Amino acid sequence: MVPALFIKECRQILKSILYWVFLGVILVFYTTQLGMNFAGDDIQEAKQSTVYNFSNPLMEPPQGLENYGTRSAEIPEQVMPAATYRLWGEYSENKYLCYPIGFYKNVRLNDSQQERIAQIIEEITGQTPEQLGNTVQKAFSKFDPNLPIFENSLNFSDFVPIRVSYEQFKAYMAEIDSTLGGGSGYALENLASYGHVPVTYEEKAAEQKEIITMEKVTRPYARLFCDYMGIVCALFSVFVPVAFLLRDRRAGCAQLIASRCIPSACLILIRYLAVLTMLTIPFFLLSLPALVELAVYGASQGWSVDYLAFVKYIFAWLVPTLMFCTSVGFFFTILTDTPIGVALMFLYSMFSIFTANGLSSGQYGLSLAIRHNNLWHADVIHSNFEALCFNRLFYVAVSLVLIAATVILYELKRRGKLDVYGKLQKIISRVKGSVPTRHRG
Amino acid sequence: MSKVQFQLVIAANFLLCILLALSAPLIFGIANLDEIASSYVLERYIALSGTLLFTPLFFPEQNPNIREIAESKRTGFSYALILRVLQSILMLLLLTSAFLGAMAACGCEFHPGKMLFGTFSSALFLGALGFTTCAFTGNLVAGYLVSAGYFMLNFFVGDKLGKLYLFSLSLDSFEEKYWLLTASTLLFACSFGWRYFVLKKR
Repeated sequence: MVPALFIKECRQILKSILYWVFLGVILVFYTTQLGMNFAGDDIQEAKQSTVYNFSNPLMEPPQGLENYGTRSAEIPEQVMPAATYRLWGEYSENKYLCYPIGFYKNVRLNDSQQERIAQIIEEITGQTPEQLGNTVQKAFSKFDPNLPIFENSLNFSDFVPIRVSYEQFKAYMAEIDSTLGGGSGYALENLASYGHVPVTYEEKAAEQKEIITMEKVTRPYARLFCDYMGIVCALFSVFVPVAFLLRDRRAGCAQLIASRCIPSACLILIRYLAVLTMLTIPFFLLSLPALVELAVYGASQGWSVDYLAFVKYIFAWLVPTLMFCTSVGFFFTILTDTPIGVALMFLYSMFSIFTANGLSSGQYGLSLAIRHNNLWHADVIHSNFEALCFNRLFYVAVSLVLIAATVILYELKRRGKLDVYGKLQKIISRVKGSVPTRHRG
Repeated sequence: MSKVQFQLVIAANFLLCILLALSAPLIFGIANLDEIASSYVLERYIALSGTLLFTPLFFPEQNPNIREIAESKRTGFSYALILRVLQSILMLLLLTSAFLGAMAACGCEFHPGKMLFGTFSSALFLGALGFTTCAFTGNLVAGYLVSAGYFMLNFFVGDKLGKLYLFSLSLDSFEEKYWLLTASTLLFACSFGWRYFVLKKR
C-alpha cells in the first residue's frame, strides 16, 4: 500500500498546474543565472581560444603573462588609505552606504556623530577633512583625461597620509561601523576588500591543477550549480507543498481522506517524501547537460572525472533546504488550512539570502541557502567544512522536528480536537455579519 | 455592494499591506534618505503590496460551489471583479501616499509625484501578474509564485528585463514605469477577457 500511495501522490503532484509553474520558474532562473551552456562555454573556450581567461578553470595558465587575476588581501598599506579615502568621501556628503541586513541603506549622521568622524579622520591622517579634501583635489588634478586609464592610476597611499598603526586603525573602523548601525564598508570583515594582491603564475597553476586532479573537474561546477539553484529552492519550493495540501480542502475531500484507516504518521510522511522527491528530480535533470559535457571533455583530456559530483552536491547542499521549506509548508498549512506558510517561508528565505555573509566567504552560519558563487576557492569549502555540515544538519534536524509536529497536528485534527481554520472563519464571519445582506425578492 | 466586496476580499489583504508598510522603518530605516535611497525602500519592499492586494481577488470563488452561485446571479461576476480591482487600486494608492507622507515627515527628500507613480506602477505590475496567473490557472498559490518569482528575478537579472524592470527609479530612470503601467493594463484586460470567454463557454 505504501509504495502505491507514494506513486499516486507523485502523480498527483505531476498533474498539478502549480508544479509546472514551479518548473518554469526553475528554468527561468537557470537560464538567466547560469545559462543553458554554463559548462559548455568554458569547454569551448578551453578548446578553441588562444587568449587565456583566468576565470576559466579548464584552461591551463600559460607562463609569462602580465595578469593572472587578483585576490583580496588585508594588506594594511593598501587597506588604510583606501578605506580612509572612502570615509572622507562619505563624511563630505554625510551619506554612508550600509547593508546592515543585506539591503541598501543610506545612513545620515547627526552633528555630534559627524564631529566624531571628522576627529577620527584627523587622528588617522593628521589632517582635517577640509585639508584632506585639498590634498585629494591636488592629486586628482594630475589626472589626464587624454591618457589611458591604466597610465592614470592613482594609488591612495600616494595622497592619503596614515599616522596610526593598523590595530588603532581597526579600532576606529569598528567604532565607525557601530555608529552606522553595522553592514558598512568599515566593518572589520569587509576591510580585506580594500586590498588586492596579484595572483602569481605558480598560485594560478597550482589552483587550476587542484581543480583538475583533486576536484575532479565536475565538483566546482556542481558547487556553482547548487549555489544558484539553492536560491530557487529556498525562495520558491514552499509553494508546491502548500498548494498540494490546500487542494484537499478545495476539492472537498479533506474529511474523506481524514476518515481513511491510514495512520497519520504514514500519510504525512508519504506525502512529505512524495513532495520532496518531486522537488528534487528537476535539479538532477537540469544538472545532466553540464555533467555530460564535462565528463566527455574530461575523458578526452585524460582527466579523472567525478561522475557523482552533481548528485552528491544536490543531496548535501539542496536537499536540506528543500526539506526545511517543505516541512514549514506542511506545518503551517496543516495547522491553519491557509497559504500563510508561503508568506512566512518566502520572507525568511529572502532575508536569509540577502543577509548572507558574502558570496564565497565560507561564513555559512545558519544561512538557508549556502553560497559559493565561483568555480575557484575550493579551500574555502574545505576549511569551513565543519560549519557547512553543522548548517546542513541543523536544517535537516529542524525539518524532522517540524514534520513530527505536523503528524501530531494532523492527528489532533482528525480527532476533531484542532480546528484553527474554523476559528478563523468564525472571526471573519462575525466581521462580515456586521454588514447586512440585502435580499432581492 | 462595494462595502461587501471590500469586507469579503480586500480588508484582510489591506491589513497585511499595512503590516508590511509598518515593518519597513524597522528593517530599512526611512529617515533622511535621498531620492535614490528612498526608491530602494519603495520599489524593493513596498511594491510587494501589489502582490498581496491583487493576487487573492479570486480567493472566495476558489470553491467551485461558491463560484457557481456567484456566476448564476443577475449581477455579473465580472462586475464584482472589476469593483474589487478598482478598490484594490484605491487602497494601493492610499497606502503608497501614506507611506510617502511618513517618509517625507522623517526628512526624506524626493519628488512625491514621481515616487508615487513609480511605486504604484511596480506594485500594480506585480499584482497584475499574480491576478492574471490566478485567472488563467484558477490556482491562487500559482499566482503568488509567479508574482514573487518575477519580483526576485529583478534582484538577480534586472538588467536583462529591459523596459519591465521593477527597480528603475534606483537607476534614476522613469521610462520603465510607463511600460509597467501599460503592461499591467493589458494583463488585467486579458484576465477579464479570459474570464468572460470561460464563462460564456460554461
